[in-house]
Amino acid sequence: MAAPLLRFDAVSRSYWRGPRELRILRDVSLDVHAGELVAVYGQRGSGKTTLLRLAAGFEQPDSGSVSFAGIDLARRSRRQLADMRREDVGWVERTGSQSAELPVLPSVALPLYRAHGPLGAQRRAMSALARVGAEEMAELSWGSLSDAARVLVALAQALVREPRLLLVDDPTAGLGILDRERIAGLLRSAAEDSGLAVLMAVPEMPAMLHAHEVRMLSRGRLLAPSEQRTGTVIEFPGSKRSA
Amino acid sequence: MAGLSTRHVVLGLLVERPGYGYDLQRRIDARLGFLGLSESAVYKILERLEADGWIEEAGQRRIGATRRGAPRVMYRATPLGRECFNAWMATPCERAVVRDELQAKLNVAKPGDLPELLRIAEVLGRESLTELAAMRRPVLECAVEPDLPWCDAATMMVEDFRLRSLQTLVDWLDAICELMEERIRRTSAAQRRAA
Repeated sequence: MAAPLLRFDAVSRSYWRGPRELRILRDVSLDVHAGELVAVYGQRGSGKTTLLRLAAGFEQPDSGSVSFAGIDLARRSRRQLADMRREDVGWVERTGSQSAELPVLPSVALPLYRAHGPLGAQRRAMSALARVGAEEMAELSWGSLSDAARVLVALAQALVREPRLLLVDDPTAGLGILDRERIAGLLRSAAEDSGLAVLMAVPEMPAMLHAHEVRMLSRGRLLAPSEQRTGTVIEFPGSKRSA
Repeated sequence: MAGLSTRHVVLGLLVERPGYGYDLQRRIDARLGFLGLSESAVYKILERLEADGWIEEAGQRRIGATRRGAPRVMYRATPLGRECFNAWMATPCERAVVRDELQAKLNVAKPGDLPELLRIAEVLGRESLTELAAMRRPVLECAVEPDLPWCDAATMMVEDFRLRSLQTLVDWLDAICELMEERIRRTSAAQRRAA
């Protein structure tokens, strides 16, 4: 197997609340390869967001290392980290920095204006929206979108720059069952069709069924399934896709 | 009527379409595996259903005889059987009773058992994740498509319950492990102070 795009190697991270040490991550190791959707389940406050922030280089581990494309993030300058986040990493979260009045299309196109000009940027933005099935939202304002639509637009905003790694924080939190399935399915397609590495933190287990790999954060430890059992694979006739 | 009635499940499968014992057992296994019904249990149920007049023989099928060479008996639901099935379908459901071994152990544990219980709870949590990783199903969205047979959609919905139960279990284990760990820590701190 090819080298992982993102690697956590024995990462620990604590926060201090007064004199008390909160050990958010203890000795966490994880590989995410190109073309792979990895889902991490954990309850609120289990350290999922910290894991994603470490992957994006927003924070540094207390011990252990996080590397992207084989390079330890601790050895990159702040400028190199900023370049990496702009060019290689897409961060998807629902509470984007969008202004409520700005229509969806320019908000998706914004980061491309300089490189591609207004028309080229808008064309690419439109195709990113189409990729997530949100073309019809192009003219709407962010403020008028439903929660599910905001996730789709945030995903288009991340995809439009053609990153190599997608970091997705609680994309399905609070959504209905059909929206949740659709979004988790889109993230899997993004990994499989475009060869993206996707690390997704989820607050509920059903969303994990779409992932290639599942992990669980429990009291700071990242648990993996003990062994891949066989014989319980369920195949349905007429299914659109079998995992 | 109390609890899950396996008789009505078998009856329901025969209302769906006629069938013979082995075929019914396979249909139950594929869709209601959690019932754990054996082939001989299915035959016993068929005998009772026939005695009650809920099902009747629908002729014998020579082709594909049983392993012993006897002809397969096909059964179908009688009009009375269909009535009973409809009545059962309209009956409110009882909630499943949880009989959890860990809950029982927690209740009767001695203080010295806590480290061992903590370890057991951790193993259970890991097993739940393993079970989840082994569950693979197509996107649940398919369940709303009219061209997917209802029995497949139903299986997906039942699987969804299993998944949510797993999550509830995992969240609960997480919570009690944290409590037990902290209690163990405080207990040993108190013992150190006393010594």
